[in-house]
Amino acid sequence: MGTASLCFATPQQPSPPGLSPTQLKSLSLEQLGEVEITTVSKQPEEVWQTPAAVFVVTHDDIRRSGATTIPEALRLIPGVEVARSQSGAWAVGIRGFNSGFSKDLLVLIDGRSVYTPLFEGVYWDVQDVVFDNIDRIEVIRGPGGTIWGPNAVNGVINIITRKAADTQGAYAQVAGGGPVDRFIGELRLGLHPRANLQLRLFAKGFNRGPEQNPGGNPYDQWHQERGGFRADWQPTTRDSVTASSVIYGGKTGDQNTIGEFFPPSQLVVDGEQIVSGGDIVVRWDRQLKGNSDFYVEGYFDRTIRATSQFTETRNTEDVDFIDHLASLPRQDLILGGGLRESPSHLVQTQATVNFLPSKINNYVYSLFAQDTFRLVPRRLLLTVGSKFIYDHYSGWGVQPSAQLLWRPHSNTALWTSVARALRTPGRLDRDLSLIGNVTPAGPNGPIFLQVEGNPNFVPEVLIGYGAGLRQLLWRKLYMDVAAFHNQHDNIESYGGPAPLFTFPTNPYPYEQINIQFANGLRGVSDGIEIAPDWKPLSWFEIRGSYSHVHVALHSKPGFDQEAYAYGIEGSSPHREASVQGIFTLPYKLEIVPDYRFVSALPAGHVPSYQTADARIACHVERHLDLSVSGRNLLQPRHQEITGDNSNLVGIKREVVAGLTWYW
Amino acid sequence: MRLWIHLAASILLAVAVLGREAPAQTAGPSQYDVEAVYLFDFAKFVRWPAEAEHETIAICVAGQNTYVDTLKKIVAGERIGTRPFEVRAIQKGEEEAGCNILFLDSSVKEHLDELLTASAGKPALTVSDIPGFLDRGGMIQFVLTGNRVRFSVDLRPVARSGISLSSELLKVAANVNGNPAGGGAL
Repeated sequence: MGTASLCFATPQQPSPPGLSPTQLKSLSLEQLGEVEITTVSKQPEEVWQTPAAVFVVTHDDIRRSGATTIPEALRLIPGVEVARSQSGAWAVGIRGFNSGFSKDLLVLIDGRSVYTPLFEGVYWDVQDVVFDNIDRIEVIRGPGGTIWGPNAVNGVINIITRKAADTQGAYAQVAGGGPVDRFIGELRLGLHPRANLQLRLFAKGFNRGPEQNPGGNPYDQWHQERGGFRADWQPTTRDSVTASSVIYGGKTGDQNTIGEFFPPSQLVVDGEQIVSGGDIVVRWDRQLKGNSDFYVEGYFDRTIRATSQFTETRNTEDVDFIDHLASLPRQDLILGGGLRESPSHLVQTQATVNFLPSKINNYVYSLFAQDTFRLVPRRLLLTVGSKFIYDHYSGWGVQPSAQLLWRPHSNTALWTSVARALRTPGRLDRDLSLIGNVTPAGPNGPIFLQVEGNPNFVPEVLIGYGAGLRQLLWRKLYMDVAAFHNQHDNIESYGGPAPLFTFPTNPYPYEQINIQFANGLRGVSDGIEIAPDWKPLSWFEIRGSYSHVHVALHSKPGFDQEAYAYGIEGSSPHREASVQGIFTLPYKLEIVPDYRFVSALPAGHVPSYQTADARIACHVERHLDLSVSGRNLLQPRHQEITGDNSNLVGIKREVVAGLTWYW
Repeated sequence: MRLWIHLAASILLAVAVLGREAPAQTAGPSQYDVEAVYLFDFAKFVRWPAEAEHETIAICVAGQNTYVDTLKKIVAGERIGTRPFEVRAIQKGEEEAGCNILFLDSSVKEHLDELLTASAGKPALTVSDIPGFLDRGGMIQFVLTGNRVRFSVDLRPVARSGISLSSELLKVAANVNGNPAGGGAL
């Protein structure tokens, strides 16, 4: 490999291994400050006290994984399904219901919601940050977290960036050399003009090549550039104010099939989605007497996406307020509210796709209250609360929840929860009008399918039951187990019947089937996630994860939508497993191999796959780190999920090298 | 597939071989262990006012029992001068009188202000690993620097309590707030 010979310029004194507490007594204070500690229970105290399936991926975890995009970093989390459909598109789901339009997740970056009300999903291609700025990614699986906003049905993904105080000095990283990750560059400068004011300036750009498309067509290559700042100001010891802003722009390649009422009826178009946008986020935190605190956050977010079919411009304004009252005896009360307005304007550029009305304001108002009762302080906690959401499609919705956490001692926590959650309608469900060609010309001309939104579409409802266990054994083995049973109602399907119309237009007659979305399905989903983390040696750690999910949906009375149900059931892998080894060796040499297995997606005819990644990194000298990451190593390419134009794209094996400078 | 088998085999081999070669090399000490040893060490660098010179040096722990057990092992048989150590677990609302060192672990974060108010002005050295402990009126806060446990000191509450800290301790501290000339340091 040659890496090892590069990595010895800064000899590091390895700390005395495995000293017992009584042996540590013989050290001086200075020596004690040099002892390297082991943190197996990497989960902070807050995680132990959370009555939900929560998992935290730290800055170091992300660096060691070699992930260069947010969806790839989410592969580290048990119970999260990540499938790359092409170079610039992913489907990310939690506990089933996965598709490129996964609608049941709330995704936040520093408190800013990044899902789009257009289809109640996330455009993952534009969700990017300077990777070294990420502090952690917190994921809650299931509807447990009452205080979160709309769409937290199957889970919440919360991406939190580091404080400006933690990114002082200068940093630069270049990585690339792979067929997909051709080039990624990150630059950052941290300043502190005053003792109570810290700044960060950053810029990032990347150029990614295509995955293996049919015929080797490179339509899905893409590039993007972004830059911004963050400022943290502490006017008093009890107040902190954060302001940040980012702007970005780029092009994401795609391919579309467009229906036309004249020969050849359908047209495959390689295109580029021109994406741009930016945001400004301001947040004020204040500590109050007796451990109470509150914060107010406001943001403005603008996104513009020009596809080959339409251009959408969206401006989102949002204000959230959260007040935490700790003054009541044995209670923690959290009250909050939020206002979000998201006016958008859609300009149709292809006759066969439209959203009507073209101008609309998607607004959501929410209120919540949650109280944690310390029935037995630090041992038994009961949390009850409810969220009340008003959205402009469906009016008021109530989402109550209750959780119980029992912590018999500091190394064990057991929790159970029940919650009701709503997935509110999006523009896709209500306002879509899409015409696609289903068969080439027959005796009465070609047949087209028109899919239409339904103005009577109501929220999807989930009643979720969950339970879990966290256990630390012998200070070396951490186990996290969570199981769930969910009851779903009003799940989206097509309605019926689907009448066939004949249009004897001259000179090109055609037939058309009209179908509309409806809330035609109900059913259950069950599953379990197991995540052990074992650190037998100071320099070696092994982490595993296994998850199983089973979705069973059926038609409600008056509907016959078994095919649609099968499409949902078979769109997520039933089983996923992964193992990651972490070797932390002298001279800051890190070797991190991992392996993953993902079972088949029957609905998309995607076979199961297993593959492996590996990353080697080391210090070349004090300011310079070198890394080599191999991805998808077990085969030249594998398939994960169907993408644009129903193509099943081969996700490539690649090796990417990186250089990082810190000053 | 073959590469995966190789990979798995080499991981297992590495664990098996290296693990056997160095059986004593288990995981490093935990943060708890290092913090507990610090608490014991601090006693050597502190001078308490006369009214706090009891028969024993009492280290009180508000929080998890793991600290108490580790501390008991560390101080077993130890003395400073003629005074042996004593380790006490403090439940909330319990009498803190007579504590020479009061350690507050992160599990009592919610009661931090109450506990600190109760001990304010008393001759007990307050120590914690709760973030922001010094801003809230604590004396010594453990901070993680990479994988190492260091500590910061605020001399203002130290001075108010009548405790003196040796300059050796302050020299090792990662950070010292408050004016050392204010009377806190020996």
